[in-house]
Amino acid sequence: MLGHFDMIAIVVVVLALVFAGVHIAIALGITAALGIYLMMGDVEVVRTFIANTAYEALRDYVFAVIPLFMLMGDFLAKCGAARDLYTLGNRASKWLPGRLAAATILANALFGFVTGVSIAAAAAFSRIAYPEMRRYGYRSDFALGCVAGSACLGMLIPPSVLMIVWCVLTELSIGKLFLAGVIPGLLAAAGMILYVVVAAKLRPELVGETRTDVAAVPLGADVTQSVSASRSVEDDENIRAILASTLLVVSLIIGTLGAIWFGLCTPTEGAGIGAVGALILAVIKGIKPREVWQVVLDVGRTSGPLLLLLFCAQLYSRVLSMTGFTEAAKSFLLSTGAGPWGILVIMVAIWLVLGCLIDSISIILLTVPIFSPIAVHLGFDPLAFAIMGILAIETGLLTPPFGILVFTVKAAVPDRNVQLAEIFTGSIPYWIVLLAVVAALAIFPQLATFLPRL
Amino acid sequence: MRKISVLQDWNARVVRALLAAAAVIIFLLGFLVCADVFGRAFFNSPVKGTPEMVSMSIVIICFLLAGYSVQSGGMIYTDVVSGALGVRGRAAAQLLSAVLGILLFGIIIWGSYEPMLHAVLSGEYEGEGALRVPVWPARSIVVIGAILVVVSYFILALSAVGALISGRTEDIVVPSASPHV
Repeated sequence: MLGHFDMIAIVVVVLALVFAGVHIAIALGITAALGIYLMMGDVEVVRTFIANTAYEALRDYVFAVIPLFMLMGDFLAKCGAARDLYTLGNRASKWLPGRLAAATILANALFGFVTGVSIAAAAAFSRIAYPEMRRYGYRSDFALGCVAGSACLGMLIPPSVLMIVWCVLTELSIGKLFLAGVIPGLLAAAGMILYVVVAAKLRPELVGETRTDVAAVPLGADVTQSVSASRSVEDDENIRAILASTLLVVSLIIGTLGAIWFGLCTPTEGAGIGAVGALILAVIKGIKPREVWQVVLDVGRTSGPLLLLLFCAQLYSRVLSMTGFTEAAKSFLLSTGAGPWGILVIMVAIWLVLGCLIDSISIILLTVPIFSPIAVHLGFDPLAFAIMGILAIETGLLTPPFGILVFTVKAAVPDRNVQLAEIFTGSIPYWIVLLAVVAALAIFPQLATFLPRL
Repeated sequence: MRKISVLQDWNARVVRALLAAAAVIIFLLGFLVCADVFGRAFFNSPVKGTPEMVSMSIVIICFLLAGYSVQSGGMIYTDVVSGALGVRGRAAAQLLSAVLGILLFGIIIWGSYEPMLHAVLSGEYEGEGALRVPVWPARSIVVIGAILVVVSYFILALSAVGALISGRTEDIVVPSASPHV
């Protein structure tokens, strides 16, 4: 046990290092080493503890889900899943005002089942959906906000890297947390679509309604008709092919997630089958051996830093629990008299602030080992709390000054004239929706716990 | 300076080769898990020792990729503060990262080489029964990976010192954006 000063020092040091720009894994690991030294006063203990953790921390069957789910998502993304989903969403929402925006959100929600990384969705839909919306005269901030905002859905809808990391840190069941995310994820998607439809109804100029009328005039009526007639025939054949391949993708995903949910296999086994199934689909779709190797290499590139972070985070959280910091933080928070709700608000506020500054996985690694035990002690359901946390952290990715999703959209959009400010203002309604879902979860935790308890 | 660029070259080659090795292991992992599941479901004979092999390979993958993560600039960090301080600010942050990184992974090497020697010499095994997984590959790769991390951070530190002195941007290794969000 440490004195209060040492405990606080450990947390302050890690935050100071992170904000000084030290690589986050290193900041966590070095602070852990410092913590053990403060506790034991013996370098020999530091040495054996760290070396043991290096060998033991990741030696667990469950960590294999990370590269395997990434492999599955990347193979499916290579099949053109994002474009197919967008075309289908577009088709299905023909009757809606603002249908291209609604289609973007719908496709993002479905694409969330394919990939566990929001950035991938933001990059893909910047290239697919944004040019299409502009072509129909959507105002650019409206279109950009839609792409950036709906990309958040990828992290809420399983499989999600954030959920996996959260479970690894808290020893929650991955399958259950995946299930817990489904209803809040769909709720957020519904809220976003509602916003788009209402906005398009109230202010048609946002979705270029007035402009299309003007543009349609110069063309002769019969020309337009024959063009659209021949196009729809072509579309129908295309749609059939797209529908078939999407059905395959969807059944693969439902198969793997379903098998995990019904306890037929462990998350690792499900991820392994999903990865090989996705490879088979990609081969059917004509992926070249070179591209397969590229995908596998990319998964290696992205999982490297993540695994190192996980190792260092385990070092840190082990040391943190040894110091008794969580206990101390808990009694401190309770003694402030803020009550469970006040403490929840404080935590969400911290997430929002951190979300503006650093990436979501690092936030989870820094805060969850402290927050989660406190929340459970206060009587919040761990699953609902996890979903609230992920939502709050994702919201930070949309807010200035460091909303990483906004930067991704800016980098990926083919239009060079786009301003960052446009994307930030366009995505305001989306983070309001996300925060509304956080509030809904705080009041009705059943939204998250209903499916896993079935 | 020439010696350093030779070191940089060799380091880049080695970490890239290890990245390829890790990628192959990840790829094979999928098939191993599948074979295990289908073997159990249809032929009532799972691939023996799959859980042990999978868990061991995660340690191996992590440390095979460790050097590459540092060398390629894949390590996640925030430049909220240092970015505002210009080229020298970023160089200072990089230097601090590199020094602490060398320290942390130095401790890992220091604490891991004895268990590695023991594992190699005594032929230590993990698991029991029909399939026992030898410990030495994972133990050695932890040490090798940590050494490459130290070398990569050493190169980063030198370039950061260069940038601190010259104040020029091109001396800073500009890391790619965080791969994960």
